Amino acid sequence: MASPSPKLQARERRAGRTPIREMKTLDGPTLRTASKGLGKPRLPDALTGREALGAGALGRLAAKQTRDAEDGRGRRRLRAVVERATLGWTLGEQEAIEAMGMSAWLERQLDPESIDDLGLEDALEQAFPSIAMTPAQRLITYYEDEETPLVELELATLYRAAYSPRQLLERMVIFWTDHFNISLLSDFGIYLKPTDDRDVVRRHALGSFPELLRASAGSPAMLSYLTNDSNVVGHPNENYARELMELHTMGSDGGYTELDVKEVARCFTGWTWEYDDSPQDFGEFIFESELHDTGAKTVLGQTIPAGGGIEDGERVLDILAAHPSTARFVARKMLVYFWGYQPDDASVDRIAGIYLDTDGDIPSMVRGIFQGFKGSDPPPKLKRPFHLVVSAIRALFGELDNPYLLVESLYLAGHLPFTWGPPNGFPDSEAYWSGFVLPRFNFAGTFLAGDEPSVLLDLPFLDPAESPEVLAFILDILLLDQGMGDDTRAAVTEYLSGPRDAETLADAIGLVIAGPEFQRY
Amino acid sequence: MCSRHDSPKGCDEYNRLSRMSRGPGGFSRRNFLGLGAGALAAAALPGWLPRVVYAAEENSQRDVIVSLFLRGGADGLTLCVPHGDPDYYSLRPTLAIAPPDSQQANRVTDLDGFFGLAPSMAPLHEIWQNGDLAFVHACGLPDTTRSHFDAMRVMEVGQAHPPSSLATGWLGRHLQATAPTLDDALLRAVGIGFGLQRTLAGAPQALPIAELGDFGLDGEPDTAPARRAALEAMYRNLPDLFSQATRNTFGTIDLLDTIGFEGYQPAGGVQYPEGEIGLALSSTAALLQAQVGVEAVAIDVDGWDTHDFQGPVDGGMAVLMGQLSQGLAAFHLDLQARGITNVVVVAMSEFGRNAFENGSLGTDHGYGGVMFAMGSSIAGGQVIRQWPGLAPGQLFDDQDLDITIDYRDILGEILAKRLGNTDPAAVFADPTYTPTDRGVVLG
Repeated sequence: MASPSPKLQARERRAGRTPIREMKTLDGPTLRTASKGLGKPRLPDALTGREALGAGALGRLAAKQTRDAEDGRGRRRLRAVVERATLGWTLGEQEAIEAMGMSAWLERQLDPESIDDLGLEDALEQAFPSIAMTPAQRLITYYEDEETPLVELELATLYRAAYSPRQLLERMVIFWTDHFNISLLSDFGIYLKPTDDRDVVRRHALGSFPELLRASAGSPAMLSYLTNDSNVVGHPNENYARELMELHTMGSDGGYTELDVKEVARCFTGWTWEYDDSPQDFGEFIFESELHDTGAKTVLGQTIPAGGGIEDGERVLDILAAHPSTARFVARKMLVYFWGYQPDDASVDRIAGIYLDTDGDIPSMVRGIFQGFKGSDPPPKLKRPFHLVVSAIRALFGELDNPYLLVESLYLAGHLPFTWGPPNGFPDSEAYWSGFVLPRFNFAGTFLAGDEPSVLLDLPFLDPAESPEVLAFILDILLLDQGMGDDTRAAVTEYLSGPRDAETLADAIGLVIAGPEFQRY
Repeated sequence: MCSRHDSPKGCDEYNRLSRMSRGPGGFSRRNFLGLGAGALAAAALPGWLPRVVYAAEENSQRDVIVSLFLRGGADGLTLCVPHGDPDYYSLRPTLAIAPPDSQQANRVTDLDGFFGLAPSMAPLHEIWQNGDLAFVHACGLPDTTRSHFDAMRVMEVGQAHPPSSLATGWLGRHLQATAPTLDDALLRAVGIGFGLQRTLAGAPQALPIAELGDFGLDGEPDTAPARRAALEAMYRNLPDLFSQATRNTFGTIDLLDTIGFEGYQPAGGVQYPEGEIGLALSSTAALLQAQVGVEAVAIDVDGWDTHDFQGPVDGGMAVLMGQLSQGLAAFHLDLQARGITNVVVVAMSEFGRNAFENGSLGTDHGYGGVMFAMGSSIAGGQVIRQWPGLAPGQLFDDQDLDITIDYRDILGEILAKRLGNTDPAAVFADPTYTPTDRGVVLG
């Protein structure tokens, strides 16, 4: 073999992946210290939704909830749609959906640009400047302080999930963040992933799957995370190619061979990112034609002729995006996310059909899944910890006060966003998350209570002077849409039955949050 | 300041325990004594809580495993010094530790004429001499990644090359494949840390517990019993997985509450060192002597990423080795004094470091390193190796100690001979790999 070019040698050095600076161990004190110094976004009042709730809403809604209960089927469906299309049902969301009708509400959510974000993004960018920077700016600014961009991205994600009026977008962002998982803690992840979050995942989350796939393939964060930056002619690295087929598109049983993986890897040789040539371009995508394997390749039976460049990889993405296995793989995963852990084959076929008919139009697939709710009720799922935390904040119209404590809670519960190491993303299974019971209970038991609550409440009808039965009823209306079980009601009423103050009531709310009904959706 | 979130026993004890505590001792909301030791100890414990104390003999067919992960890429050439290889001294002009026959005060204690221990590792010398400690050198993950992240992940998964899409860990899959040593054990595996180590992922009845003496409901201690009663009442009749897990969690709280970690008195007059490693190991000893059916404990030891000012005799690495060796020696002697001999400790790291030192009195990410195993069942008193040498032509990639023993050989042998696993190859799920017996276990 001919001796490699100086450029190739530089790439190979980088393939050794000596980090610019070692990331500190992620632990509680680190998160706490880094979080405490950060600014607090000034959110417009409208975002908490308390205004929309308005005076007398509780009584009005309680009456409505009771009335609706007579129409059991339609009622359950409405609630299921809200629970699955948002990060948690709220009285305010219920009012909105009833005001405009369910399909109009859903259409609006499917078109997030049509929803005023009420200044949320501006407030977040002001408070957490690293989220809007380029990788180069992030590197220059935070070279000695990598924890700040980490925590800023965590907090921005938490604020958006809790307060964004574009709730379905946030649900979809979480889905694709797992699907195209990239760990912030991988080498260079701190500098590259926030850009991927903004320009790949958030931009395309409710767009077209092929465009999302193309953006991800060219994302420096992905190329670094799956080491395609050391995939060069003569020294192929199959890491990205394999995950592209197994996790991003066709699925492990999608019908490709080991030879396909090797050929796909060859097609992506030279797809890399700017690392050391010029500081201002750090973290930009580049295609290095001299590192590209220009020989002919065969991918899934299709010939990619010799002499190609970046279009070889693009051709692969087209082939994969159009493949029926991809349609089924993505459809099934979306059904697991929005519908239930065990979607039936007919539903998978139906949603995969929508994928193929619409060239992977994500809103069309989501719409199709929600239309399926007409046929039968989706089976309950266990909220993952992030979902649990956010849904509690939302249902209570809470204001984040010491959000770093929530970051800690999420860390302890094993679900701090962007910290899943392997490329398959956080699991979405009841068995996995059942391993983290105590951190969930401890979140519920502490987030409102004590000297340092992480969420502040301002709901006038939560008055400890009310009787235990009335308080339990109010919590049922506010948190569970009157779905409280008998054992939960008995336990909460009993807990409130002695002398009580605001702290007792905070505990009781925590118990409902920790209880079996609120843990599911 | 003594706030009401502190211990009901008062601030002095709280502060003392806080100092002892590891990791995020600064967390504002310690779950400290969610069930006060006195408050509920008299209450009836659930009948299904396993309280049968098995005699050591009944478990003797299978060891309990304590898996240590030295995070950061521990320098094998300092953990177990090849003083008999002259190239070690030429590659490490300032970081080498003087040979045993040197006149220097800080010199290696010889093990076998070729390898030796750094002064701070001296506490382990007695264990070595008793034949309960073996090193395995030029050993490790046979992959060229120098990424901590990739290497740790793939080793914990139990495979050779990143990426592995397996989500479960080697020890987790082992526990899946074997029956519990104690029927109905509530807790088969503990990962000491925040979030379960990948090593244990997939294990049945496994929990991450940051601090064994501190596993309970957070928040106001006075209301904890009533909050717990409410939570138990809400979940008592539900059959689903999550509800079962809540009952296991409360059972585990009770189980750990009976053990008395805070007041644990080691046997045999040994003393555990202050700090994280000492606390993790003394808590593990307390857990194991209670014989509640725990079969595996995973412990992380951070701080081995010694790019600068490595300090093998008087700096950071020496301090770390001192804590590790004191902790492990205390653990071993404590359990021996209690007659608990069915425990095997195995330690590994994601990679070794460059054979040569760098310009910052440290070493950068390398390749081959060292593993060690400790226990009555270990064929101790030997450094198992096929020494590849440190001469220019012998170095891996012209810079590192080569790997001649796959780390999975050591794990596989322990799985097969001491953990009752009849098919260790299946644990590693790699058709291209068959474990080779390296003689690390007796018999």
